[in-house]
Amino acid sequence: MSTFQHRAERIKIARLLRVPVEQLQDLEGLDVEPLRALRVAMADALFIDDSKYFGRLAAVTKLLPAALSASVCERALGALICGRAAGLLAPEDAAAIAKRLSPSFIADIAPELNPRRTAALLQQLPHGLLGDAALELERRGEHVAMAGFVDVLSLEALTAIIRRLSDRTLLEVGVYIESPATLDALDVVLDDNTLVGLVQATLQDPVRLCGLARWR
Amino acid sequence: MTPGREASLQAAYDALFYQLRLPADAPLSLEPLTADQVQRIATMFHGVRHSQREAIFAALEQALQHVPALLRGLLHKTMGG
Repeated sequence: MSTFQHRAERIKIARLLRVPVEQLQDLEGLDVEPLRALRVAMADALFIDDSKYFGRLAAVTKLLPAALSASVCERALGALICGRAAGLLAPEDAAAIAKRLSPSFIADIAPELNPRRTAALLQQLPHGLLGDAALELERRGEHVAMAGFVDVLSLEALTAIIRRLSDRTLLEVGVYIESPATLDALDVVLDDNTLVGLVQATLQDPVRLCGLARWR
Repeated sequence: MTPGREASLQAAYDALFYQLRLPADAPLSLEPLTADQVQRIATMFHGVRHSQREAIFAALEQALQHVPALLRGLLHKTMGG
């Protein structure tokens, strides 16, 4: 069992449950895969909860121009509601609204999204907007949320985003990335300077070695 | 009931699966957790579901104060059922 993967999963579950990770000592005896299955089941159950209401809200947005929907989202509904409703909208409708949101508000929504259920939406967003939102998430230290999107964004989008993030952030996010296949694909976008930066950032704080191991 | 699982552990799994909206035969095994540990997870998850629902509806009520009356009526009707 990989200790850092195990801790990463417990941290993700703690975020879902909105409790400190120290409260999840009961889970220390589980292997990584059951932990991951439990976390996915929790995320899906939270998404399904109240989905009938959010489905109706999503239907309303079809009646409004995207610009007005975006304004209502950002000024009135807030990140929690918009994050939940986003997964129930047709991807093209959600993308039309998202393109009109500020990067700061998209960063607000990001931790509330279920990445697997909003993949089609995310793939339609401009790389520049995703990069702007990623920079805001970086500033807020939202590494767990950032890692959740790595598996669902295109390689082109990830390349554009990675080039804007610091080496330290890549290390921090690397700890929480799930799919080794995605990391293999990302190897091609890390140039020598970035790799040197990753190693230097690791040397400043050896705890980040687990993140470096993910990027290889 | 899963063969070989004692009654208290099965009851804890039932509670957790109910909270997670999983069918009784879902292939989620949390071995080697005890019944108490599984029950604590179920209780924590019940708490977060409850909190999330309260937060969502509080956010919606707050939101409704900030939108024009016409749109407020539409949203209220939509979310209120």
